Amino acid sequence: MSDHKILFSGTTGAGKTTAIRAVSETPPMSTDVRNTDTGLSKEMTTVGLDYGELTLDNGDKLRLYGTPGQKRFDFMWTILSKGALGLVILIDNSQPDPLADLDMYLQGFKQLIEDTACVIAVGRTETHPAPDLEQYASDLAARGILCPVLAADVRDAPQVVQLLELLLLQLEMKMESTNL
Amino acid sequence: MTIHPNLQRACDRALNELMLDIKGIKAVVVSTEDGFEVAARVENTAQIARLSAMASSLAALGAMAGEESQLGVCESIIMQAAEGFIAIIQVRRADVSLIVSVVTGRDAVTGQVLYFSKKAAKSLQDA
Repeated sequence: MSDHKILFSGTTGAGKTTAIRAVSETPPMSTDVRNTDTGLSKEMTTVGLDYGELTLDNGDKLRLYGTPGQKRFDFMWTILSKGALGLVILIDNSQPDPLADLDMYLQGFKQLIEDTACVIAVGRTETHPAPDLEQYASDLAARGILCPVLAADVRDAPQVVQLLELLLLQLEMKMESTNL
Repeated sequence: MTIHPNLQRACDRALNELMLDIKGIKAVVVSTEDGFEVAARVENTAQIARLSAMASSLAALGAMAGEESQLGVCESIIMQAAEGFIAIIQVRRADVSLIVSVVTGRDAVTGQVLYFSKKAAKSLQDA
């Protein structure tokens, strides 16, 4: 059994708070406040962090941290990255330029992604199929980044658990390949 | 973000008073609780956006810590650093909640910073 700190980041409104709430076995903590940004169609937004805990079937305990999505809160990305063993990036495919959004998080978490593992989950693909997962994969390959991209609905707890298990698998493979 | 002109004027007035009242004051910013600047008095304007966002995060973390510790609603946060203080005061209003952030040098008196910052926050709450 081990204890891992896992980070959720990604587009504002993509479901970081929702994902943690969906799977946390302790009452989730959040720092949501009223959103005043008229460019975002949501009532509340995270300005500090989200926190929840999950124990996997194998006994591994995950401490789940969610970051604010907006670039102006990128100091929280740096703070929360410390000690993290993996990153889940949630991208909202209904946004005008989801690939540019992804680029911003890949840049913002460059060091964490290089040092640990990353999984990218794309939401709202059923209503907004473009760009498709192939385009995401090409974008990542062009940047020399190897991490899985999959469509996910983070309101559904089993899908969030699947993302986390995939992330841990990535981490395990990376550790084996680097003999860490 | 839309701030009513009356509230905007009240913010400007409150900041002017704080700049006069607090010894050693370096910067003061009023921002929305989600980190957008409403009014500011600061030498280095590049700091404003950053300070607004950080005050928003700190205030939210303070609120969470207060609730988790069963201490109730967080009203203010004081941070003491090597070279000065930062006071963060919540302004709870029905239309838009605000945060007053005051940055001072080491020569400021904590009690005075808190007193005048809370007075300013109260004036914005009632505006």
